[in-house]
Amino acid sequence: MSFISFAFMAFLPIAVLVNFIVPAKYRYIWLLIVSMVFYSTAGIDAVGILLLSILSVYMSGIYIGKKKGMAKLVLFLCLLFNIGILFVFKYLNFFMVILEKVTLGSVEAAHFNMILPLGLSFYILKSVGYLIDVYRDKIEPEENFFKLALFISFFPQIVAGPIERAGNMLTQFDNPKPIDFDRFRNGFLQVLWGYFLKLVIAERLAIFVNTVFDTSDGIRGSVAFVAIIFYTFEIYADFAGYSHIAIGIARILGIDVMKNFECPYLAMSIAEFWRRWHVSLSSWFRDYLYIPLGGNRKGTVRKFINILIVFTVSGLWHGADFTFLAWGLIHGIYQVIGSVLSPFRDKVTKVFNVGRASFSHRVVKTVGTFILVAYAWVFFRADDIYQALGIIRNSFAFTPWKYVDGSMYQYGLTRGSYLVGIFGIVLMIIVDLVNNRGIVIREKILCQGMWLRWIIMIVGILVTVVCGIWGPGYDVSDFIYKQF
Amino acid sequence: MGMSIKTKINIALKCIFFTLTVGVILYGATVVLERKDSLYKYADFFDMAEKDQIDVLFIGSSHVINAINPTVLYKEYGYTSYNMGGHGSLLQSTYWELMESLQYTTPKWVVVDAYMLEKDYRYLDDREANPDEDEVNTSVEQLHLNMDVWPCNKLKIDAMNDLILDKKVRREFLFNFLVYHNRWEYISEDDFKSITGHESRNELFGAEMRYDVETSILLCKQPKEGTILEEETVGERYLAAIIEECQKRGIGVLVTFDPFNPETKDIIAANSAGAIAKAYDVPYLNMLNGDVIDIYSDLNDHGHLNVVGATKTTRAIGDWLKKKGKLTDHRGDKAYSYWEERSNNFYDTIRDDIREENNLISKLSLMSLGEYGFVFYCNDGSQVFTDKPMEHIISEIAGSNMIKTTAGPYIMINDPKSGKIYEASGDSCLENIEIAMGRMYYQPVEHDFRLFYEADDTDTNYLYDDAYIGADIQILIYDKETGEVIDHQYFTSKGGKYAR
Repeated sequence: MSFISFAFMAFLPIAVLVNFIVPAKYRYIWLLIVSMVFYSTAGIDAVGILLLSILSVYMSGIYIGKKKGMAKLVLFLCLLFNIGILFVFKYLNFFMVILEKVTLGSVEAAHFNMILPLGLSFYILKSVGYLIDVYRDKIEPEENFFKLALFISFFPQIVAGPIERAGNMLTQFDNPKPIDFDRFRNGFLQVLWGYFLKLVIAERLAIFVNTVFDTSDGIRGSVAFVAIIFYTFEIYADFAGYSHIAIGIARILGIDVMKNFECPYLAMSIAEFWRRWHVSLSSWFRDYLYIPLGGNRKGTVRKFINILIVFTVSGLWHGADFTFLAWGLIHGIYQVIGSVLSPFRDKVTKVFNVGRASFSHRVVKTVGTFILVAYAWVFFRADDIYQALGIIRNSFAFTPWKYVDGSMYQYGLTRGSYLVGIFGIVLMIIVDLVNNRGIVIREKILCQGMWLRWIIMIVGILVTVVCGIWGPGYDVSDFIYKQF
Repeated sequence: MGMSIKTKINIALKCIFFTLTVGVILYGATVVLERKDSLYKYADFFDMAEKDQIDVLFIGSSHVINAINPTVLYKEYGYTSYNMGGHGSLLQSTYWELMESLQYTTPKWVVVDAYMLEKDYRYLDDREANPDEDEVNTSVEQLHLNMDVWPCNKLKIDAMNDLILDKKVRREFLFNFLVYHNRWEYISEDDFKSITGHESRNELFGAEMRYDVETSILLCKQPKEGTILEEETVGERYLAAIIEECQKRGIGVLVTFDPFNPETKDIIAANSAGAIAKAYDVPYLNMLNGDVIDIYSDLNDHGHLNVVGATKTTRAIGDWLKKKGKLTDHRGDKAYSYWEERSNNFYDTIRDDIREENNLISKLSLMSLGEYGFVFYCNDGSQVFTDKPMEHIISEIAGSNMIKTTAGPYIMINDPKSGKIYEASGDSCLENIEIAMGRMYYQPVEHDFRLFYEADDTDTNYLYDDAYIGADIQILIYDKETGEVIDHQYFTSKGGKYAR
């Protein structure tokens, strides 16, 4: 069941309404029921795998928590089991392809016809994080099976995160927050903003991007460049949209979930970008991979190797393909080069007396980082490496007149729709600039009088419904991150 | 601390009121954004049906839309009718169109056109049964014209279940906001007028007139006489269902096959329609065989009639209804003044079109309707004399072959008041002919000079003007009652292109 389906529009009010009525003490049972109902729409096989994973994590957690002699072995076996599930369903075919290439064709790549269970990559990371936290004594093992099951399968998060930490969520099941009208309104506004980002901006930009990327003979110049920029915002609007919906729904249901984005395109370096983009995943890799590998504690070379390992894994986590591998590696290389060049950059700024805090310097760094990120996204979007390189090469062709001669309206978007897309991008940037100053627009709206609040909400609903890209004639894709 | 009951009620009321407000605004959005084609076509239907003023319903495909003009039927016979035809409508669509309309009115006659009777697929969107993707897309898309205007009720759900295979596509018809919400880019003033019911509407009671003249006609191979479809088709089943439904309700049924330039399959379908009509003992008018239209001048394209063809076809059905329909002539009845007004508007439009039309063959076609008297003069050496379609239409209007046998000059005077047509060619003159303009004389003198004057005003030579010496074609348009000259138009025919 997708967040952008009529079935979900019927499902959600029921889930919310009953959640209001159920006594706080038993609310987690209701949330588990609706989470399972939600997940069951992914198919009975997927439910079976989910339950198997939950069961293994629950029992292992209990055992590890008792600190018996074989806790480490149990942790290892349980991690192996769960990561093994992920490997089989997500990477086995890719592994076979690599094996064939490595053996120069002597091993023929078998293809296994398997469908990746919904949200597998996300809930496995949650489970792994929980087990390691229990092993590290950071949290107590959850003895209530249903609460652990809810932590892993909580329906707003299971499809594409945020990848929540057990320490944050399980305590909320034990001490549920009273659900008040302010939480409801706050959550509702966040959900509405999420749908706006997804339907009005991401899906609209996707039409242009898909047309350009799917044109086999390659589109040159400004159009290719605009497609790259549009995809940069498309994936942000898509994933941030999903995250806002998930976080907003969780808030309405009385659960606080961690933020997933912190104005990522305002970052002034790639390292900062990763502290702002998909925060729940980045911090997961930091805590459960980068630091255990030694982080930056074992010398510069080792630090660089660790960075490359983490970003390679991150790339592969997003998808079993060379394009994702390349995307991850590029970000790793960006960071390594950034670190290597750091003294040189310091010297340049000193020689030219550039004020590091000056507005112009910050703009240059922000735009530079944005461009680097945007071009890396090409690998994320492309069908293969060659297509990515082709699009990048084409984007450097000099055709500035295409910005003004109507060429931009020939790639699936009419003039009006194109302008709405541009307006959406500008709005996203403004909202991020405001958020970056610590101002939460949602809270500002909620401070206003009822009539203004209502006008804003009603206009938001109307614009999303009317200008949103949905319905027949459009193949509204699901959230991009859902496929991971 | 928990909320008080009062606070809870307050919140609940706010939520309900907010939901209602959003609902009302979204409903308004659905009305504004809905494509208005269907409402445009049927707005008058609802008003006239409410007054119980519809004697005849014409149902069928676009052939009906372009072939039947209710304003002509009213003007010339005083019968009220509505053209319910739908673009690309197969007979199953037509059946449901009838069922929908019968919720609002019970006409005395239903005239059903059997075009596409040979179609033998059940669902309009069944791409396996009908591999012609364009036809499938057209049928589904055009079904919106037929269906959008009807309210979403059980009948409409039944209709969509019967017509559309794909559940998603069905939903598009039942809740068409799914399709139309993205019309925001195209909304106009008219879209907002629909909220208050003041939207634009079809002024021809559902009909659409076309004004071109198709000149490249290819005749098909005639099938063996009396050949009918070999097996019963879906189209035939629905034609039978239409007849049965009308008979059940006591409504008269006339089956027709409106005229056009048929293919062999159409002639076979027309024969089959006759067989069905005979089986149900209902009258049948097969206008493919008859002399209702002239296919060389009355078609807009190969399949559809132009306004002249439509007028002739409407008259043919009007004649039949007059003879067999037992309908009341409503002309002069004040309660039917709206019909009178709409009919007058149509003829006003035709008169305007006659004057404004730049395409000579279309202009002549329109003038053949007799709304104006006119003089057509063509100098010797004109391309008209080598232009077969042009010769044909002039010959049709004149009712003679003189134009085909002369190299010019040539004159034709069509005088609706007297009902007479005068012609002269070569050195021949016309003397003392009595038309609405007066007693007229025509005399060719030399290549660039000829006389055409009224007996009492010999100084006014209507067919000569120094300023237009190069024009080889002249059309003098006059009021058919008073004879007052309304327009004088000049054309040149160089290169076979007729330019004003």
